[in-house]
Amino acid sequence: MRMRSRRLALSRRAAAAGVATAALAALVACSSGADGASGSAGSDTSSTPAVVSDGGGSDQGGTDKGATATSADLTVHDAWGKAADDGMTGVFAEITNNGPKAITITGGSSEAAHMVQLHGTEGNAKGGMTMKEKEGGFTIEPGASLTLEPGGDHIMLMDLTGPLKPGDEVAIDLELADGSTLELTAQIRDFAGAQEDYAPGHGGASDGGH
Amino acid sequence: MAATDQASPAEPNSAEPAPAQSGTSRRRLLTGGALTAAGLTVGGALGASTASGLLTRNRGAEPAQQESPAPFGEERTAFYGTHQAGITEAPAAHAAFIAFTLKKDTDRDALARMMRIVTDDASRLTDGRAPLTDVEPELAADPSALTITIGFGPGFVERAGGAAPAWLKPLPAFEIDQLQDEFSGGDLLILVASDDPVALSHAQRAMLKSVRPFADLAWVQRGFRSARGAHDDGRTQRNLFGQVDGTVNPHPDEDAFDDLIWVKDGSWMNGGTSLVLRRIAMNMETWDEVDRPSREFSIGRRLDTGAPLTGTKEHDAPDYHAKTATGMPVIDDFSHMRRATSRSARERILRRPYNYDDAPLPGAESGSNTGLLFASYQADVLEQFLPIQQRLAEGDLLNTWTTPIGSAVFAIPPGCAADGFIGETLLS
Repeated sequence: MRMRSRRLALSRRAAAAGVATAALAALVACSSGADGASGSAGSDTSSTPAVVSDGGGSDQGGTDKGATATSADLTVHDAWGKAADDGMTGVFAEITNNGPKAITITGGSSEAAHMVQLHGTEGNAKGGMTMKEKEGGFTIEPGASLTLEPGGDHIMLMDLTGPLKPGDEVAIDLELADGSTLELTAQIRDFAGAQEDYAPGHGGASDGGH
Repeated sequence: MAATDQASPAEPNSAEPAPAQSGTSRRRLLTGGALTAAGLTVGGALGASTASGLLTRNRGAEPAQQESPAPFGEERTAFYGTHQAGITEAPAAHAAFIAFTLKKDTDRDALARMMRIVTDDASRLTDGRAPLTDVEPELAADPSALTITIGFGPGFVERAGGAAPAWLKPLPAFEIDQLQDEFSGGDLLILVASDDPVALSHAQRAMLKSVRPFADLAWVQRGFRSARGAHDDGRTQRNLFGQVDGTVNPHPDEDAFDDLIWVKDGSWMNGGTSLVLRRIAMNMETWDEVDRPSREFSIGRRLDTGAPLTGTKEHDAPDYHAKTATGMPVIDDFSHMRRATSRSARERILRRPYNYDDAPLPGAESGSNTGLLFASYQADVLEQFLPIQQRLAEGDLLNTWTTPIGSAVFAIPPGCAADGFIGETLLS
């Protein structure tokens, strides 16, 4: 990847890391949003040793935007949820299994919702997508990544305990088949999509999620 | 005349009838030149002029030089740093200045949430990566040197409960102004620039979607410079009056540059700068009435080279004492250049203008809706920009054909590190 060599360019120096962040209780510090892409390495070598990243984020794990990876073998990237005032809403992420064995996510819990479910989608007779609870949860093979996305598999926060507003951070504990827990932090975003049909018996439409 | 088909009936005197090639449409070609030995080519070597004297247009180089430059879509601009990006790099070919009005219930907490989202989206987009919730991730993949620069209006700083710099307020009203609300003011500015207008539009859309839970769109002013690669890098741009525009500009390599551009007052604005954005409407119809010598006289510069009327090269220093044979100044006292010239070392600004040429206004007689997005960066608007603007408002021959119809002042906060966000020095 090329950096543009610009006649007028000043060297770009990363600011010292001593910048205050996350003064607000509910919020996690903004991070570089690295997603595996080698970041734009435009900064000079700085004499300040505490610089977190040289920009663009070649450092993945701790600086992923809106995501934490706490289980030994699972890494979570780009976790986010759809803003909603009440009802239910979807949470999406990329979860990679770095371990040697298949891992199954069986359920979850969160203070943000009375119930957490795992949902998949399938085509319905009307030519649209219907979502419903996925029996057996989500299994991720070793070395594979699970993409939770609108229109596909996703986490549902059912019966929200309060409104989720853009910029909020929501913590969700995903339960794994072996009894361990994966903590995921999702940033809430405004999103127009993720509106899908309900399968019968789903319990009422709502603005949140589907 | 090189042609892959017959000239149209309107050109009965085409030099020689060329055999029609199968599959070639019988369109009228503007290219001329000799046939190559190998056959018929469009855009071949410039040869004898056509009988009708059409200008030849050589599309592409000689066959031996037909390599296109490598695509620049992958080029990225670093987002994080002491200063925000998009200020000292060579200006990208396309820009959108997007202003927002904060919603009434967007409080200080909400401003911080918004700026975290905006920072995350902007850092990804400028790195050629799709932001969270991007439903067209393919459009994020080729940023083409995309930059996204954030500015705060007076309303933003007030809502954040911060202390605004003394210059962060609307400019005083000038007699020449005919300012329209739809191009003026703003609580938040997002300036998106890219060498690819498709990448720009995608980034603009992403920013809009991320901001609109917190603020309503106030206006968008979109502008352009010459396409990347149209000219040698470093060649001064022209505005749509045809003038070489931007000759005198501080350069980042100058010792004085840092002090001229970056705020150094120890406040939350330390490492930031200010932006004055003025929308200057050009009256193309009345400008058409002006002959070339008068045009040059009104600027003080030659139109062909941009040289001062007393010089021969663009960067020659003007000689304001030179007189004509009849004792008049060669460079008029009220020429645009003379009035805009800095009167002191401090009175210098970094100009990064863009042309605009929008759809004609409904009901307007003129088919053109053309002008300049005049963007100027300086550490202190009052010390550096205002004296120049006042001189121009009081007297500038160019005012005959231009009218300011929009005006906005923004504080451009400092940059941030990868674990921070733009505006943290104000909002943390």
